[in-house]
Amino acid sequence: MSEKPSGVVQGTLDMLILKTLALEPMHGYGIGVRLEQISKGVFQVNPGTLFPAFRRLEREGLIKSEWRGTENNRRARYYIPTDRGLKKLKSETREWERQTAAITRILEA
Amino acid sequence: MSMLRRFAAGLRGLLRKSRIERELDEELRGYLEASVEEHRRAGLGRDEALRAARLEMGSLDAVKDEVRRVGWETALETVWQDIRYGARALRHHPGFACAAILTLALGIGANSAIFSVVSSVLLRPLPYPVPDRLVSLAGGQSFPDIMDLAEQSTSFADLGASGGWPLDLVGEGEPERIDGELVAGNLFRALGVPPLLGRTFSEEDDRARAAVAVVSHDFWRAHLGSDRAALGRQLNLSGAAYTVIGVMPPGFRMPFFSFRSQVWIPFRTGYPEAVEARGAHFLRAAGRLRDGTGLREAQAELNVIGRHIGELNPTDAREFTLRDLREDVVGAVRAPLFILLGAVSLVLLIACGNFASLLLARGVARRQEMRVRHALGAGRARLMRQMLTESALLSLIGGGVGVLLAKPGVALLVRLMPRELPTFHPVAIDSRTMIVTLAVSLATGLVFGMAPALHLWEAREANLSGARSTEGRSPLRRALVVAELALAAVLLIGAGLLIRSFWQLRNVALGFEPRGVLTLRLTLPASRYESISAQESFLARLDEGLRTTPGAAAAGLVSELPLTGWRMMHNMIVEGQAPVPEGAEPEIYTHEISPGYFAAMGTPLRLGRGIDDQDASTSPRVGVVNEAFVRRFFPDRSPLGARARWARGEPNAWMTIVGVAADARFENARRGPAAHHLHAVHPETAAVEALDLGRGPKPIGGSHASGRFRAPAGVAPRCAPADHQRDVHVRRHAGVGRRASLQPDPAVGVRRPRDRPGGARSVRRAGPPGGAALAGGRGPHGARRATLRYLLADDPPGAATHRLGRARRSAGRAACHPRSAQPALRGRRGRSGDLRRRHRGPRAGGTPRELHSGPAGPARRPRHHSAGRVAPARRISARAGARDRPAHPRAAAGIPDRIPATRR
Repeated sequence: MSEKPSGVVQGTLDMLILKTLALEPMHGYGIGVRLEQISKGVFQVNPGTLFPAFRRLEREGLIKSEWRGTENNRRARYYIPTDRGLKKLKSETREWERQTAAITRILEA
Repeated sequence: MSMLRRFAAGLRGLLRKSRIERELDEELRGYLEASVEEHRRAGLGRDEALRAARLEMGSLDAVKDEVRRVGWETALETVWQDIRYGARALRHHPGFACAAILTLALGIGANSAIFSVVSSVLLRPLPYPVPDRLVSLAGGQSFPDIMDLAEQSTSFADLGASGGWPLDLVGEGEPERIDGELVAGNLFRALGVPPLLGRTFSEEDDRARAAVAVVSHDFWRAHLGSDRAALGRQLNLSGAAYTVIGVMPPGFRMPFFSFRSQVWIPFRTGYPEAVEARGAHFLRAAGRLRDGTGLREAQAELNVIGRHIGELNPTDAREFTLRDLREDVVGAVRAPLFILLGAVSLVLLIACGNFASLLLARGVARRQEMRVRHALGAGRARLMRQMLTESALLSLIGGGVGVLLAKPGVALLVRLMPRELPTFHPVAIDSRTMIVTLAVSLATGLVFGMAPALHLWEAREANLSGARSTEGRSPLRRALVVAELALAAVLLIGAGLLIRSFWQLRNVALGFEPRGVLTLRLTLPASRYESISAQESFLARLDEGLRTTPGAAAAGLVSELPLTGWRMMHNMIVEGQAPVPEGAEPEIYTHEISPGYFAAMGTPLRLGRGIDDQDASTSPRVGVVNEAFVRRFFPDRSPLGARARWARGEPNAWMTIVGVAADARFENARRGPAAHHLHAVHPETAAVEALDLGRGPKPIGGSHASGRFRAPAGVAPRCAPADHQRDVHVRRHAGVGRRASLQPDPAVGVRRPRDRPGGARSVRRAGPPGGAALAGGRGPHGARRATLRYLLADDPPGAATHRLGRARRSAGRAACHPRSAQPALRGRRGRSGDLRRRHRGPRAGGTPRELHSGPAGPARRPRHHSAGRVAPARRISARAGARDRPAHPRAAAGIPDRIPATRR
């Protein structure tokens, strides 16, 4: 892990977003912050990447959205994972673990 | 599934676009605010927090763009934008737009028109059920051969044959000549098309010699009033009554004989004389292979049968060659059509070259605009897409206009098409043509728009870096110009050669002079002209009437006119030649003529004399041969005084050669004289002789290249006494709705024969009609509408006369162009009548005009002769006697005296 924040690994952003949302529904800004916090600042996701990902996930039926009031009394769009999204997260996670385990084994060999 | 989902989402995106945009705005604003608050919480001042948040976020528009790009609908929107923008740009430059669209429209239109023909003729299957099981026998076949094959072969589910057989329909109205066919075997069953009404006939009807007829849908409409009760009605066809037993569905065509026949009758009923004539090869055969039998196995079987037949009939040994029926029908026209398609494709390529040049030129004018757009952030791909969209837009509009142009083009093509072109399906701009046109248009726009677009891009790069534009001399442009010139040169050379060939054809020494000659064909009803003397006197009167027609420079009768497709061959024995075995005697084309024939046709005599009025049927027989005949049989001495006779005629019926006429092209104007032939002339009024074969061989002719003439419809003027009103049958193409307009081109006059159906090379040139021909013309008339009624010299006052035609002035020279033979025929159809016209007498106005009339009579004694390999003729010449008239006394032997040549 480098000191500098980096972008997410190609192709994994969708999984990370789903994982974040699986904990609780969240709005766009919150998701970005949460990703940064959990990754301890390794991942910094800018809106130009984040919002297209939302739309893509929504189009594929993996998440849905609704407008709710925020803790600051503002209106924000909250994203909620669908059943398909949760299922997808599970399979993606398994796949990810399989692959990283393999990669790790190779790197440690 | 996910594709569908994405599609639906995109659709929703399109429909609720403004709401989605609004929400996106709000969401992003929310994001920004949240970010600002976060920064403030971290202790930044208001402005600083805002600034930091904005920095983090980047360009709001860029984010939105990224989001929008997720859906497919955005790409669509961009295209739509490009199209609108392109259309606007084109509207502002109407000159450029019109030039580009018209250029492409011409190229695409020409392609569409030709493609519609290719599509109809070559790409669609024959209109019979399971067409790939259908085969045909190559070449002409005789009835006995077909019967043997049908009986002995096991390869065919059904086998049958047909032969062209013009029939004279005598009904309430004018007698009319109908394209008919004799049907042998189970041809209808083999083709497999069920009748619309009633039934078709088969081998059983034929064997029973049933007087039944199946008619085409066109005929049913035109002559039977589309009446369902027409079944069972009697038709008087060539003097015999036939019962209508079936009506074929619309569009049904027989696969042979120019696909035009309207009425079908059983072979044995229509032509009993030929039932045993193994040498009369004038039928075309088609069969349906049994399931599981391949072409090869069937061919092997036919070989065995052929050998067997040959053993039993040594003089008529035959080989039977099977072909795919479709190949038989369209094979000959494939190459010419593709060449035509290739030629119009070259035209399209040239048009595309011009189109690309126009785009380039316009691109130069748009440099500034492109620079600005680029500066505003439009990427290379985006700009290229814009340019391609514009060129595709132009080419699609061009294609649309092209289709509009192609419509009249197709109509024109249909009119110009040779009748022999196997257009089983109507030639029209159908969906297939539309799809091809669309594809061609789009490809044109994209491919030919690409180069200029790429080129502009490079030029722009250069410009942006400050260099001056060099488009004017760009290699691309030069390449375009070179390519266009090269293509144009190819086309020009091709067209030049074509015109040259055509010109040569027009100027080929035909051996006769078609200009200024009118012709007609006639047949006499057997019922009234059964006796030879009646025929003779009719023809003598006709000949006399023609000769004395005011304005006629010369007139004569002949049994077959050149280039009409009619021809007759006889085996001849020439005195002084080494004896040959029976059956192997030289085959000579023979023709019977009246004294005026050579003068009427303008065929020069090289030696001796022609036939004159003294050569009556009672005098010693004489004949005139052509030069080819002399070259073959008398290479080193004068033929005058030598004798010849029919190989199968009376042994002492010698005919003396009294003259040599120039070679005339009979078969085909393209080919030189190949055969020897002999115009047999016979004494007396040739026509009469022609009628009476028994009387003596008049003909001698060494035949040689005879032109195949296409029989024009035979029109017969009504001549003679009123009681003969119906004697001469006018032929027209009843109900053949298809192109009467294909009839002789007035500008050319004579129609040249073609050797093959649809042969691209056929040129129209007139030939005097076969059968009885009346070569008139070369009249001094200047009058536009002089009627040729005088032909009917014998018409009693008040008797109906028909206008044979009107004279028309052409090229400053007067000529007679019979337009229509009778009032009923006037108009387009009339033109298809049998009168062939030629005009523009080559020599000045008053040159001879001749008429010849051919054999017509029914009654004729058969003369035995072998027809050798004469192709089947669709008409047994008058000599054969009964051909036109079944009722005629079947000649003693029942063997056709001459076998009609067929036109294939």
